[in-house]
Amino acid sequence: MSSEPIKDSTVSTTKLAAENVLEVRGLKTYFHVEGAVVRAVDDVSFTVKRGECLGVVGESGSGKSVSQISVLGLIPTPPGKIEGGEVLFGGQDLLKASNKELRKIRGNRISMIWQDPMSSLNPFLRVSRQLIEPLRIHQNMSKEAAREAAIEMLEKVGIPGPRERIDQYPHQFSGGMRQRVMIAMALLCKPELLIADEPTTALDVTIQAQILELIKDLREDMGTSVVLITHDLGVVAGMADRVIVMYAGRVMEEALAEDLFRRPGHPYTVGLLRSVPRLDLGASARLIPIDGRPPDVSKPIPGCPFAPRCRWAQDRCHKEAVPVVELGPGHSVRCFRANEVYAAELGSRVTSEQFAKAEANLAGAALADGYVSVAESVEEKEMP
Amino acid sequence: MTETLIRIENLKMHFPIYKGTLRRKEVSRVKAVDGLSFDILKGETLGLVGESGCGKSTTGRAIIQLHRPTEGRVLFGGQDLCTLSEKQLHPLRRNLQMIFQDPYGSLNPRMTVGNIIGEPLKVHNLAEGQGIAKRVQELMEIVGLDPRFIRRYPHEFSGGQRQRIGIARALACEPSFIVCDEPISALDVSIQAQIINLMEDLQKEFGLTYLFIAHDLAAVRHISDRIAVMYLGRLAELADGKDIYENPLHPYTKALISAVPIPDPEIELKRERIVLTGDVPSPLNPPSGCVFHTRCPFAEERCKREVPAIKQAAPGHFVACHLVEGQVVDAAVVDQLEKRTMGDKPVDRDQAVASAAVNQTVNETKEEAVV
Repeated sequence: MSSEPIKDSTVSTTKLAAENVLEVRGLKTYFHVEGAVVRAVDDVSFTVKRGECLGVVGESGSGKSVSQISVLGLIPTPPGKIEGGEVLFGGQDLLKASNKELRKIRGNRISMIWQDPMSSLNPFLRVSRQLIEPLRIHQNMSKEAAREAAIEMLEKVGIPGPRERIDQYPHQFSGGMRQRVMIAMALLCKPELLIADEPTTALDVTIQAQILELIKDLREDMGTSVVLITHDLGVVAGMADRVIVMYAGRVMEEALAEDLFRRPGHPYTVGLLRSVPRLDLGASARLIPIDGRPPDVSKPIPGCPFAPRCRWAQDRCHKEAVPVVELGPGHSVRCFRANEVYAAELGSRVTSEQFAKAEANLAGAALADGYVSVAESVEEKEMP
Repeated sequence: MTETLIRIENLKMHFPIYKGTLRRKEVSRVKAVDGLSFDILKGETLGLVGESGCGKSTTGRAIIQLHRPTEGRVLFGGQDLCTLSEKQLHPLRRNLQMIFQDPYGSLNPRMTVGNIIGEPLKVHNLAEGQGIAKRVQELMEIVGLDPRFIRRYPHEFSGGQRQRIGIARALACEPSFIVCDEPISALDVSIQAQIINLMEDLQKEFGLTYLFIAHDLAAVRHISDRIAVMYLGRLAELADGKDIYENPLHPYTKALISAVPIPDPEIELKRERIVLTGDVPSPLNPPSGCVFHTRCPFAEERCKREVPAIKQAAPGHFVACHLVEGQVVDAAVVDQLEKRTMGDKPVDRDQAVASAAVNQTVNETKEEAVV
């Protein structure tokens, strides 16, 4: 695989050339809890291009959801507060928009699918009422026309017998069907941007496959841009054009999906790829876990938040602000040693031996450079 | 590896549903587990996969008698656990432990870590006084927790560390068999690998046998020697982990495998996907014949009528499907497996396959002779 150069195909270039639907710059969302400031999203910038699917990957607490909810102005205030940044959507800064203006955008031009369809549908209202409402409000439709449009949309998302089922209550639908109702609701007004927050995490794999297929088809059909928030690298691999990897409220890496998986530039991305069991590899490869656990974001982190768990951390990683390194078109990494990690080619295809070798090389270099051992810097003992 | 530790025969776990307040009448039954037969071999990890509601957790609980099965036998050390009273079961329970899914709900928030891990020792009279504390600290060391934290409470630990506490508790009375019910699904991705590796290390060190229950096929494939696939309370397929992935025979297994995303965009692009239509039917009223026929892309007429028998398609590869060729075996699945591995010495796999092929040709020639 080392002989194969990164393909700089026309596909990638067109993917990067498309116009921006959403542009987020320097977004900071803090929560003020019990005297502490939790920096849930700390200086995050990203763009969503027209028609693309952007994958947002991270563990719980990485700020992946909060960053997207901030875009919609749905952060509960207090305790949450957006402390800075810009969210440009169609030339308008959503952070400065009034509630009235936001209401015209939410559910109309930007929609959201939540993780748990049971708690995001109103259990007391028939599905028909919940589906007709956005059309009446945003599109000024008559009741009859809205009902017809809703039935049509339910059919499109694959609910059998939509004419009968539209008058049922959410509890009468199964988990997968409820998620379809959610998707239908989100797409009713043909939004330009759809934000899906772990849309399949609560579902079984066979149902997950159905829902992902549906989102893919609808995206092609309607040209909607999709932001897919997930912790599952597999889902991202199958769905996303571009990916941002988040950790402790910051974007660690941004790349086209094929680049990210083939040749990641951040040790955290490498760690994620090595630590998930893969169906196609089976028991052959021992998992290489990421030691320790995510940092407490209520304390200020001067250097790289991943440094205490990083096998390649150097002295400066703990202390100095980390620069963003450009590795190629659309590929940027927030790491001092991004070039070295990138050069080591530690993508998803790398074998355990290659990985061990590369790691030994890097760690060796680190030792010479004032390496702080992982064991010493991790506060509590996690590993046996 | 070839000695049977636990044999499950025709295990059924039905939950009755009652109606009426004064005259309570059983109106129907949720057939959570409906006729399972398999063996759990000593020292192996048997993976049990299926979608939610397929009865995999119920199976795990019924095996260690947390639910008393409606029907069937669970043979452990020559005894049928289902026929024993609670009192008779008590001394056996130290051999049968469980690791739970939820590291928050399964630890008593009012007990210190020391008390949580030490409780099984007290219950089974395995240690006293200072001995308990000593053993608890030893266990904490084994699972990678700092023994100084013995007086801390569960809320002071992270999810991964709590799962380690749960594991230490399960290990406390040196069990031979542990049911691991979705032990990693509540954890973050970067922590899951730590727990999986820990469980693998412990198995090697203490010769444990695991029943590893999970919906995540990738994790199950990673940790398991053999994998059983369940659908609606029945066994769909049981085989070696490698066989299940490389040569799945049951249409449901095929769909399940094709639905699991692989973190590699190029592979994802090339993969063929069998997307099943519809949802899992209710176990309250399971479909007739093969329970999978309502969603099976290959279903035929007879699938609606006849319950498929369990067949042995290759040595040790069992499948319940009308469309798969194989030798029909009776419900006691692993009797066949035992024959293959008779005499306690592990049979070479290739040799077993070869002998099966020979048997087949012998059968064919016999048939010809009859003709």
